[in-house]
Parts: sequence; C-alpha cells; structure tokens
Amino acid sequence: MSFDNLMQHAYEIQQQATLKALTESGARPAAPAGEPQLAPRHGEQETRQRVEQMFGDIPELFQAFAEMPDPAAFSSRISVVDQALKQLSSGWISEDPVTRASYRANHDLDEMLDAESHIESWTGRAAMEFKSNFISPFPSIVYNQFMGIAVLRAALDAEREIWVRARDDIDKIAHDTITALDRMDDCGKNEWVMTFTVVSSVAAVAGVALAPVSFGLSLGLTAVGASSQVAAAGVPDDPPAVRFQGETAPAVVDSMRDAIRLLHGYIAEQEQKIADALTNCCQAVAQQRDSFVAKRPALADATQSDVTGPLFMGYST
Amino acid sequence: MTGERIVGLLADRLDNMHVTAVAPGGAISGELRGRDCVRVTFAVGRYQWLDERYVEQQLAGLGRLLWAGRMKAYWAAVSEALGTSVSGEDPPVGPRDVDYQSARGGIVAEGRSDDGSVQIEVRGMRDWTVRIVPGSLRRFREDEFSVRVQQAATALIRDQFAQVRSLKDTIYGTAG
Amino acid sequence: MNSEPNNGTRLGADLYGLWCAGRDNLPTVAAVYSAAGEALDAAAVGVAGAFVRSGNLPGVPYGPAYQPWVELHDILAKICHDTADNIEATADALCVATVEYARADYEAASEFARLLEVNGEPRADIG
Repeated sequence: MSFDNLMQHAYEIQQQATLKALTESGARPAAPAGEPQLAPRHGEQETRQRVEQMFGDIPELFQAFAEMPDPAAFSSRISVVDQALKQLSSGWISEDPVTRASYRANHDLDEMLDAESHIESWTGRAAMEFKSNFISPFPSIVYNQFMGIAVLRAALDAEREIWVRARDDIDKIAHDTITALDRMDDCGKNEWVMTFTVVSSVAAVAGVALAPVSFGLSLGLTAVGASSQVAAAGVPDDPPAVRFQGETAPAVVDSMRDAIRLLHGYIAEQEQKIADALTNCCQAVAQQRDSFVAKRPALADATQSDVTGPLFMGYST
Repeated sequence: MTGERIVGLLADRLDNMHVTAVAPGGAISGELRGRDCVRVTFAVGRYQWLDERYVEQQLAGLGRLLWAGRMKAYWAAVSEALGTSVSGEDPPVGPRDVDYQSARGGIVAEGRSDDGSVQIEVRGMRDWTVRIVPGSLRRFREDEFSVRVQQAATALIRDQFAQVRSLKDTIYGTAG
Repeated sequence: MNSEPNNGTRLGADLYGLWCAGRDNLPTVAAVYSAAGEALDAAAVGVAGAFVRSGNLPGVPYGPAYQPWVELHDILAKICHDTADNIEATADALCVATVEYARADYEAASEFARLLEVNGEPRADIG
C-alpha cells in the first residue's frame, strides 16, 4: 500500500465510515446505482444525508496531500545546484559543510595563480590592485562562494525531506484510520499511536564558518539540511507519538481529522525552519558582501588608449 | 456510495482467519474460519461412545482454546495493519474506558442451534458453558450434531459482537 | 626590486605571459564562473512549481521557504555571472595591453612572436 493509492484510501475511509455510521443508527445504505432502491423507512433518508454530510469532507482532506510537492522535483534541482558546487570546489577545501561530502577540487580555478605569475611584475596601479584586491583574496572568496551554494543546496535537501516524510505520514494516517474502522467493532479498546516523522525532517547545522577576507570578524552562515544528510546531526529525538482512540465511526474519523491537522502544523514548522535559516543567510551575505565577491577590477574597464598608462598596466620589471 | 467495496488489510485478515484447536480429551477438534464460522469434528469412531455431559465439558474447553487462538491471530493481524507490534490492550484511560472494561467483563453472550438442542453461553469471553439437550447425541448423526454446534457457535459469536457494539455505543456514543 | 622598466626581449617574454593570462588563464577561470552561474540559473527554472501546494495544506501557494531560497539563489547566481564578466573583461584588457606594448617596441614584438611560434597559441581549456 503506497502513497500513490492515497485517494483510493480516502474513498475507502469515507465508504467504511458511512456504512458503519448508518448501521449504528439503524439506517441501510442506498442500493448501488442501477439497482432498485429499497422502500424507505421512516427517517432513513434524513439519516443517510446526515451521515453523508458527516464524512463528506474526507476526500478533500486527502486531495491536497495527493497533490503536495513531489520530492523528485527537488531531487533534480539538487543535482543541478551540485554542478555549481563542483565548479567552485577549490584546492584549498572541498568539503560540503552540511553533509561533509567531499568534492574533487576544480583545478581550472588554480589558473588564477598562473595569471598572478604573469601579472605580478607589472607596476601600474590597476595591475597592482588586481593582484591585491582580486587575486589575493581569491581563494577565500571562492571558499565562501562554495559555502553559500552549499547552504542553498542543503535547503533544497531539507525541503525535499519534509515532503518525503509527509508522504509516509499521510499514508500512515490513512492506513491507521482504515484499520481503526475495521477494528472498532471488536471487543478491545480501539486505539492506535501515530508518529509524525515529518517533525525531524530538518536539522540545523552549527554556524558554517567563512574564510575571512577583510579585517574584522566574519559572520558564519546558518544552514539547515535534511536530517538524514546532516553529518553532525547526531541521533534524532524520537518523533512525537500521539495516541488516538475511536469506538464509533465519527470518533475514528475525528481522530483522523486531528491527525491531519497536526501534520499540517508540523509541516509548517519545518518549512519555517528552512525559511528562517535562508533569511539569516541572505542577511549575512549582504552584511559581508566583500567576502563573497570582489569588486569589479579597474583593469576590466581599461581602454586601448589608457591601458598601458600608469593607472592601469604601467610597465613590467 | 456505490461500486465495489475495497477491503482494508485488517478486515481482510479477519475475514480469512483460520484457527484450529483440539479439545482437552482429544476426541473433538474444532476450527474457526473467518469471523464466525465454527466447525467441529470427532475423532474416528469416538462419537458413538460419547455422552452429553462429557461433550458439554469438551466443547466448553474447545471454545476457550479457539477463542484464545482467535485473539492471538487478531493481535497479529492488528500488528501487521498498524506496522508495529501490538500484543494486548493498553490500560484504561479515563472513566469511559474504565466503565467499558468492567461492563465488558460482564457481558453474557449466548447462541443456540436452530432447534435449540445445543446452547452455548460465555461470560466475559472467559467462562464457557455448553448445554446439550439429553439424548441429542443418540438422536443425531455425527454430521447433524456438528451442524447444530456450528449454528450455536456462530450465533454466540454474533451475539457477543452485537453486545460489544451496543455497549460501545452506549458508553462512547455521544462524543465518541 | 629592479625598478627599471623591461624592454626588448625581456618585455617580449612579459608580453607572452600577459597574453597567456588574457587568452588562457583568466578565461579558464571565467568559464568556471559561467558554468556555475548557468547551473544555478537552470536550477531555478520553474522552481516555484516544486514548492507549490494547494487546498488546506499550510503555506499555500509556495510555502515560507520559497521566497528566501529564491533571494539567496539570485544573490549567488548574480555573483557568479558578475565574476565571470569581470574576469573576462580583465582578460580582454590584458590582451589589448599586450598589442599596445608590442606596437611600441619592435624587439619585444619579435620576441613575443617567437614565443608564440615556439609554444603555440595559449588557449583556455573550457569544460
């Protein structure tokens, strides 16, 4: 039984609950379409309508879940962001701060050093500034850019994880409800326990340290990731277990509604964790922009008439 | 609500349950199939030598054993349906649970064969009493007697479930 | 440090170095940033569709994480594209400078041409 059958389960719940509630109140279900209807008893039609109203919202409750974000839509984007990470993996460090996965260094980045060796003998102001303001901080800046993109990637991992677990949780709610309806007429107390795995989807990563570029303290980045991927997450707390009980069809369905409401709340909580971390990140990047990108070198705007002058290349020694 | 009924996992397991047991003396075997279908068979050649008192005691013992087997299969099915191991009921929480459990223990369920020759009664699904009209074993062939036991057992099980349902509606009915 | 400007053959060698920086080294690094920027661009195409949910699910339509994600994404993508542009523009400037210096010093130009002949045209390895 899988998430793909969710709507089927929803209709099954509606059908079972209706049958049980009708039986409880002494009414008979309507005959299937195409067959002759039973001669109505007194009050039966009203009872049928009342019962149908009681459970009319069930398919709708599940419909939104059947259409919720697809983890696969995040997976494909995650691999694409990963391409960017691979590009900016520099020789100095190439470890993802969230997953601790290693990235092979992209040696194309080392050619900045080759460029440096060709420019360092030039005395023009722009040439020297290019060395001090662009080439010198380059390793630290690349490192920080890598970190920023890693945080971006990990946020997608976290979001994906929420929806993977939400699928499992709503599927379990459906199955537990069906089981409860099947069980409620038996002699034992009809209770069951729901664990909401979505609660531990998103794990925080202790401040991602950045390489300092200018003088002064550098602020770290706040990151979150999918808890299954965060290397330093440790053993997660047990997800909250909530007990439900229902000895009548309306009671079982009310428990189901409560469970769905709880699931909504937990999903919202987890998404907010991601939102908060990303917002903090944007602020941190804005506050130390120099650590993430060097200003446009003056050399980039040199023209044919001034490039050889002292303000730009000057002379070589 | 039209169309084919889709059956949940637990319902399916309960519909297809199969429990067997042998009465303490070894002369009578019983099986429970599905929710309420009971069949008894006698060891070869034994039926003609048995008397009603003996068979009453043996059937009572068989009832206890079959029901114990049924509950074991039930908990296994519930565990499977819930995806977690459950082997018994949790303690009562709140006054309604307490009321329900004490009332349940006092339910007396009863079932008779269509002609009244076999009657089975159980209190709290624990204390089994079987009454057979004297002379029945001589009057009926083995297969005819088995049918009467079957009728009484099915009626008993249905009565038990009906009383449980009614008790639950009474105690839990208003707000579930 | 010898503060006498290089000329002639020594300058020619320096010009060859500048030409390598402008045709090979810097373009190679610029290409890295272009690729990174393009990857980020691709990741964001239609990303709203990944976040979208409806009905009674919380956070309709895109949830609270969508906007901040797009914001951080746009910052980082722009950084990559800007860096690629800046490095490419700098590379072009070095090439323009090389031609200008060669024009002004015949010996340097000859040495530069000789080194090009011997070592081949410097080319960026992209990808």
